Amino acid sequence: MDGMFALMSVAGGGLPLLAAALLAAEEPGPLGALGIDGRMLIAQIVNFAILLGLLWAFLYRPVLRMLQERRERIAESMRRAEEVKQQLARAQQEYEAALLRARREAQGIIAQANELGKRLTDEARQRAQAEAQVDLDRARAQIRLETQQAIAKLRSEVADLAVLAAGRIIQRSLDTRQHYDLVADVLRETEKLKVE
Amino acid sequence: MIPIALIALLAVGFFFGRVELERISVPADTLVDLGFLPLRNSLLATWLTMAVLVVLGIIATARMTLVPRGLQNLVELVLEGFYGLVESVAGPDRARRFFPLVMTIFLFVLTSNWLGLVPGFGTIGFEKVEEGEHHLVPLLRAATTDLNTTFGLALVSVAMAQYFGVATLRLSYLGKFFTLHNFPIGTFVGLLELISEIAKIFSFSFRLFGNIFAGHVLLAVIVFLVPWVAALPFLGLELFVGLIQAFIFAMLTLVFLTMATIGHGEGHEEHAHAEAHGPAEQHARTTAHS
Repeated sequence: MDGMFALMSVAGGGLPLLAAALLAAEEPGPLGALGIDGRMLIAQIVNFAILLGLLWAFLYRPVLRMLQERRERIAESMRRAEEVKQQLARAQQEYEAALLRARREAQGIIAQANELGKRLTDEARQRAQAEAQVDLDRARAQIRLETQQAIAKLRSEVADLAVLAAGRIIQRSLDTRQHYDLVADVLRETEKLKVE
Repeated sequence: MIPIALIALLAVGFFFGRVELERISVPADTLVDLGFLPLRNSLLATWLTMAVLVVLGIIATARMTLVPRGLQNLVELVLEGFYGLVESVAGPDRARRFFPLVMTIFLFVLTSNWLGLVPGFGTIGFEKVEEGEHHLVPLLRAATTDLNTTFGLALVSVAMAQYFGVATLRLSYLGKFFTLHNFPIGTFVGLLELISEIAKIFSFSFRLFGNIFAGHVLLAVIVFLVPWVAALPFLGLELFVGLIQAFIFAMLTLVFLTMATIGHGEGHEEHAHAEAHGPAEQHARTTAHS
């Protein structure tokens, strides 16, 4: 389109001047001596116009279009690269934020777990202690009970023994001296038992 | 080793390789006059130049890839560099309109200048008898050593400046040349502008023609004096001149196009804009420029 425009304007602008030159140079004069010839002049102007048109069609237009295309491509790819860079930065930020959050969460969980563990062990220890105390108390009560039973049993046996001993003493003829000694012995023994 | 060999070549060429002085003629030779068109050797070279450029363009853009390789890379480098240049002079909006013209002028002038240095240009041709004298009519002659070519380019360049000027500024563009503002002086300056516009056509065409034609004459003379080797540095010089002239032609066209599309109002606005800012800003600007 532009090429046609240029061509037409070369013709439109050049032709009037051309006509004047043609008229001036038709007869041989000083210009003719220099080689100026109207027909040749027209031919050269037409040649130039043709060259301009051909070069426009085959050289300037494709090359300029290519340059334009390349400029656009480069601008486009620069823009895209910038976008990618920004995206990358954003992703990096997000990744770091997520990492930080995860780390913080993990720490929270660990702290919680530690606390829970401590509480559990404390509870277990307290329970164990309480159970032990209960067992101990029960064992003590048992022991006390058995001791009392033993003592009661012993007492009755001692009484039996005393009766037995008394019976034997009665069967034998004892002197007063022996009698006292015997009773004293039994009494001492029972006394000892009582203390135990 | 190499300097000795070069000197030996110089000497051998000097004594045994003598050539005739090339016939130097300002008008390009007409090979066949077709009536509606004189088929000149410079016209053949023009077509060759066009063919080279178009074929190169087609090859370079035949299999365009997003990652450029080889010729595509080179072409993109040149076009992108030039587009940046046009943009820096004319601004982004005008650059799109001016670029094809400026670029084509540069490529065409550069290619025809350099093609003219290829061996065979100006030396391969046929004998012609004119007024009892035998002389060589070369088959090809650099397009830019024909005034018709440079004159045509100059006409296109100046005409396009007028076209863009009118297309952008409408009638106020013509006010640059015909004005009653500041009556006697302003009107006179306007007429001077008009004359300078016409003078541009001649300065454009003769600068390019003169430089390239003179280069060929110089090479012809050097080859006549010292046939071998001596012309080499001058060939290098002419390569450089060819590049510079192409660049100058394109850049001047660009500047004239840009100037033609900047109205008086716009210029004043920019001026007022600069004044509105503090001296610090102005200072920053001057330092930036220096």
